[in-house]
Amino acid sequence: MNGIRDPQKGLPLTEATFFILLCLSPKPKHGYAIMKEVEALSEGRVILSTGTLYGALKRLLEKGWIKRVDQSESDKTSRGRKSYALTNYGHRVLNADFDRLKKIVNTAREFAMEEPQ
Amino acid sequence: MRQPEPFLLRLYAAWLYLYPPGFRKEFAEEMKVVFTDGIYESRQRGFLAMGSFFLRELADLPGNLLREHWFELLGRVTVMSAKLKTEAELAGGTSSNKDDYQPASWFQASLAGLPHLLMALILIPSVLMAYGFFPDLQSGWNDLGIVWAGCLGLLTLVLLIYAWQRGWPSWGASWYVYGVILALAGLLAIFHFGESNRVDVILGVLLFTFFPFGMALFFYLVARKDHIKGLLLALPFMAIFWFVFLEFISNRVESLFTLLAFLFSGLVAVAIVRLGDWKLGVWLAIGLTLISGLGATYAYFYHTEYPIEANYSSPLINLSSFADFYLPQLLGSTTLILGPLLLWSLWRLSKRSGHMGVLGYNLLFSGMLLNFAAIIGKFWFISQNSLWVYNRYASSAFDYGGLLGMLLVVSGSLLLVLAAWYNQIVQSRIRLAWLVLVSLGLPWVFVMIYVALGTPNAWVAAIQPYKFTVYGLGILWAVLTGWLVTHFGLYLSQPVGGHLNEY
Repeated sequence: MNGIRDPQKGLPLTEATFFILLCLSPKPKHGYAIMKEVEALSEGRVILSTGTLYGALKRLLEKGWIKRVDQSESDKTSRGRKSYALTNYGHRVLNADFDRLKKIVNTAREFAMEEPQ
Repeated sequence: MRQPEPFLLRLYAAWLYLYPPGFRKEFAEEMKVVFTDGIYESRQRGFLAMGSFFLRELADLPGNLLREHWFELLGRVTVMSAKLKTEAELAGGTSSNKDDYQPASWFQASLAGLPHLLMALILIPSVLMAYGFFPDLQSGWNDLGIVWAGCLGLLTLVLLIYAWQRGWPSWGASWYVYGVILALAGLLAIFHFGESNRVDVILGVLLFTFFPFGMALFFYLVARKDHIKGLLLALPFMAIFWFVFLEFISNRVESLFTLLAFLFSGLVAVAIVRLGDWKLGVWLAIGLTLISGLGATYAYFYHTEYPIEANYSSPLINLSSFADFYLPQLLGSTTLILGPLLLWSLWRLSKRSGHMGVLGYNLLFSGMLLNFAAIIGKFWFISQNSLWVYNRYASSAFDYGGLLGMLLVVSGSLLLVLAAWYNQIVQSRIRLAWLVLVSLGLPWVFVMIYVALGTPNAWVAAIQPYKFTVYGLGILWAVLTGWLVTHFGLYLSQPVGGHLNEY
């Protein structure tokens, strides 16, 4: 069934969504860790408030791009916090947006490398 | 290490209560933990950092609140239900609409019917007095009526808070409409729109043009997510739509018929929610407007009592005048039920019909919005023709706006159906032809709405010689559309919800 839904449908991702998915891609994280990592990954461009973060997480849960994971599956030091992880479909969406961005960068790079006439 | 500021934490915990209950239930505890972490960590960097963190949270609050309440009101699937779905189900894009809609309890069904029954209850004293009961009550009824309206307003407020606490459930939809109507009545009592100064005129324009436009859009968005909720939103208008425009009708007849219409509305609301069957609900709601309309038409033709000074003659009773009064309004109110569901069906079709299909739907939808805005604008414009804004160019702009809207609807419909045909989405040629007829019929219905609103413009004049053909096509459209939206699964060559994510 997973193969049926096209990850391209969710693109392009907003910068905030992209960084949330990106920071969840290596391993599950809890809310505060997501906030901090998104800020770090975006070099301070994307700073999420708690309301914005959890609004975004709610939407991503509804879309099935992320899921809640048991504490045992995630960081054992994060007691009392719920953690989130990318689903397979979420990975596919992130990869699809990554490919999209890569193409844009490659095109821009090729264009910039051309000798001026 | 010092503890974070208890005051800020308490304040944050308090403002979390402003979020919708469903959201709060899911995330409030986590948000508190994250906020505590944020305060704690920023405090290590000094008061300025902590203040900056807190102000950022505060600045984002209004936008976040609005967004979450909007999503909650639209009846988006909750995280709770999303959690219950497997990832595979989500990938299949199963819709929460509604073939498997679960019947509600009797309590919920009663709450759905209650606002209509209360409206009927308001009218009972009027009916009794009109028929000669309690003659002593006659003089004091106006005061009692105000007290009763106040009680009703309070009760509505309590029910709205109750519904809000439960995440805006389907049964509450009619309450929202009555709540808005009561609020509007309050505004009308305070301001005398369009009469004296520019502030009142501007407020009037906002109220009578943007409000119906916003309501129509809201109807569509709600009905698309939850058909039962959409039907309950439309239900109050099945009675109001008919009786609000009746003037100079004998009080005995008008109050009795209005009472019965609200009573039937209540019973229909109870049936829809209790059975949980939106398809049956569509036909029940159409039946309701059909019967209410017959009552209103009977009152109009047989019990109109013009005052002598009005210098009007009583309406002529013949087939033509019956059709003029009954059919446009019937189609107008039926469109309120069928329109959102038809758009929802066409939207599903477009999602399966590639880029051209989506483009066709977008054209069709923008045409509808443009046309509707032009109708409402023209109606307001005509009724306020003494305004400083009046000039014939503005009047023409509404007409041409409406025409452009219709052209967009027609071209969008054709494009959508062609895309569906090209992608072999529809099962047979007959059903494809059915779709063509229904989507191309949308402009006819708009003409009906023009006529129902009594807008004196070129459209109404143009259809006069062919009005029986137009009315006949309108009725045919309603029947075909009713069948289409309640049997839409049969039209698609793939199982509904089995192809694309619908949300």
